[in-house]
Amino acid sequence: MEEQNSMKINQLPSKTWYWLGLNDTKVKWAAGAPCEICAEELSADDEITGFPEAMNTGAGKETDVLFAPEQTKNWSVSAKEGQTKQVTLSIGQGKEKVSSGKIRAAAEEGASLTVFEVFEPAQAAGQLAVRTELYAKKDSRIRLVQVMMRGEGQELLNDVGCICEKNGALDLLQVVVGKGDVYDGIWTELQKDHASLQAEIGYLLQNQQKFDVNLNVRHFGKVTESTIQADGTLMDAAEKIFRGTIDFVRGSADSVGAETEQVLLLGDDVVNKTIPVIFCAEENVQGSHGAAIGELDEETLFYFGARGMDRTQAENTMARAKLEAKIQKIGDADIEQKVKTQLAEVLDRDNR
Amino acid sequence: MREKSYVEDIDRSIYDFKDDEKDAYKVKAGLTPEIVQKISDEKKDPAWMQLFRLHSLQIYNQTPIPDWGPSIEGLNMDDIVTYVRPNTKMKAKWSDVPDDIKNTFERLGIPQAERKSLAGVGAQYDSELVYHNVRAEVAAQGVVYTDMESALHGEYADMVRKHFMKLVKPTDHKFAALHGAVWSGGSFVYVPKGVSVEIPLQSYFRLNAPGAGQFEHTLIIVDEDADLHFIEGCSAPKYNVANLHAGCVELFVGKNARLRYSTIENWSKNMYNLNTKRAQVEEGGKIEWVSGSFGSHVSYLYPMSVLKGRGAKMEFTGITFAGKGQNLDTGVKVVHSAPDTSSYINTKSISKDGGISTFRSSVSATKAAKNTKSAVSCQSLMLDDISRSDTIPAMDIRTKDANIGHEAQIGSISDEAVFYLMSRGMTEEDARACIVSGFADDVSKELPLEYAVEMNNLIRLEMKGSIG
Repeated sequence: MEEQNSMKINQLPSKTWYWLGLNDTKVKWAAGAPCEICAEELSADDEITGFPEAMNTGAGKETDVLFAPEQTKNWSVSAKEGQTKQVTLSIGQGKEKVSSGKIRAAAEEGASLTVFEVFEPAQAAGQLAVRTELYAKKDSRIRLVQVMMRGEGQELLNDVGCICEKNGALDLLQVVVGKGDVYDGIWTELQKDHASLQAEIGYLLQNQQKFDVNLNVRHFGKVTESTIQADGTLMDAAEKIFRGTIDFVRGSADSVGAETEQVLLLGDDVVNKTIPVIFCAEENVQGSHGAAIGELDEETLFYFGARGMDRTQAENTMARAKLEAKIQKIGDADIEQKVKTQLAEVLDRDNR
Repeated sequence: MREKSYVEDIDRSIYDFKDDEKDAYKVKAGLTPEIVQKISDEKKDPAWMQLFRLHSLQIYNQTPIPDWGPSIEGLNMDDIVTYVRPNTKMKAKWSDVPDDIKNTFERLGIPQAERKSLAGVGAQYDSELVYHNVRAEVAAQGVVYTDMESALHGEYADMVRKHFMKLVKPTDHKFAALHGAVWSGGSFVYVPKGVSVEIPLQSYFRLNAPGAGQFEHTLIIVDEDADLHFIEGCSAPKYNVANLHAGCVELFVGKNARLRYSTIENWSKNMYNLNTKRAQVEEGGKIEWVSGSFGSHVSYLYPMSVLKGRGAKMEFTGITFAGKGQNLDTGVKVVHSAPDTSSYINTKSISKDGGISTFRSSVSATKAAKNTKSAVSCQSLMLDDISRSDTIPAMDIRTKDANIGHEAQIGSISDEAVFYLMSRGMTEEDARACIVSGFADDVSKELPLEYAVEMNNLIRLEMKGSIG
């Protein structure tokens, strides 16, 4: 049996009342072997120069122990100056019950890099920890698409860190459609002027599945922009925690940050926790967040009812539609099909 | 670059005046079992209360200082005097109150307000009430409005014992435990079934002694189908040493009853305001909180409502104004634990001159809270780039039959709006004050006229010297 580390992950940048259980999440995770990372387009990973030596990530420092070099599969990709590049990574737990991987992606000045990360289901229960570090240099754009399709009893720790230089952008899309628990940490620093983050998260959770998110964006540069949108559905006794923090650091004048969350609750035993935080130490900024949590409204139910669908059918249709809206944005037909197949499998239970 | 001008802060003498210390008795600074025992002896507590105090002290000593809010490092309990008895007994006529104390309340406008628009007034000076009175016609309706000590020993002793610190238990947090150990003063209100008190009752708390703490306990029971508006006001002169306010408010709202609890808090800026307020609402009942937080050096203040009965409701309207040297952590908590309950929260916060304002909230819905509705709206205004404004709202929803909405915005005063008002003849300072008053309008329109005027005066005071 592997020795397990007890650690606090996904720590809220500023604590609040302990009884809410939102300040952090405690997990036990073993240090394992390198995971499998298969790149479809490239035979070998790239050398990257000038990558920041240290980078904050959403899951936090305590997870560093999981990514020690001897137990971690390392992989890197870089788009050279002005280049447009795309890579698809299939990431699996491998033969070991516990495994880790670390991916570094850099976009040089004026480059555009798209990275698809598909977290595959494994044959057996286990733990997979993957850290992705991103560096978007001046005038560059990184698009990171993460599809999380882990199976039952298969935990995933997805830890992302990103630094955006002047006019650098990160577009992040995450789709969670598996059956295993997911711990998801994202930390983005908009370090220079006009840098931006656009993050979209879609999920459908069922049974006693857990999804634990800690998304932070720190605005350092002037005229920086962040948009965060998280939409999902909780069924059965699924549990979700969403921590979303927009931090306007002093000096980030004329920046804008907006965060929205919509959660459809369909199970009798669901647990939905949300904490959308804004820190503001700068006068000339605009920050906003909004959340809508609950069942389908009467208007929507009436609409479906007028078309012969009962409440359950309407709810399942909406749950499917919410996720499919995200799936359509993946931008890779093969992956989209794969996710749709997985979604159908997940929803097929009880003829959903 | 915007041109900056500077205007001196104006004199806060309306609130910031001091009386000579002529207290009749005070305990030594610090917190020991002996001091707690002395307070209990001084107040001639019944045996159960004496044990309660000592047990609370044990809990206090075992409970850590909160590490999630503003720093309270400047507060040293060894320096705080927890009980200061003024040099008078409680009176029912202002003319019987010693001149210096009476003058204090005259300057604060309390007797005038009583004559004009209140059904009863309690005035606390340091640790004890010095004046308490209720209009005869209100008393004739069976309404009980008295000081806590009288209630503890009189015909309502059993009712007090049944409710005292049952909503806010000493185990809740360190300063609830402190309150349980050293509480003194405060008001007891009982409104019988079906009685509607047409005009408000008010308690005013004045802390005069430097380095002292005020720990008043307010216990209000509004019985079935009854209705009450209760107003709480507080202020203190500024000293160079820390003062502490760790009061406790427990509100019991009966079936189909309504209670409005309004507060204009204007403690001096050396005050640590670690106050706890909580309401429990039965079936069909409603609690309405109206809260203005202007004073204090540090505040931890989050009125909590437990919607216990089917169809119970809560409304919270609040404003926080954090100026120079202030770190005000305020907000609201609500627990929906029954079907068909609803809550509506509307808060505004303003930060200027390096002030820090944090809005912290929680909305919880248990599995039993079917068909729950909640809407939260918080807006924050930053008036300069040396201040800070944070929002930390949490939601914990455990029923699918819920409709929970939340929205928050942080921003600054628009230059266009200031320009528009200045083009119509206002100075920049007046234009900005006017915009801020408009921003606070949601709160002021919920207050009786006199208090809305006071709140707007406070905003105007705070806005002096704000240009830049």
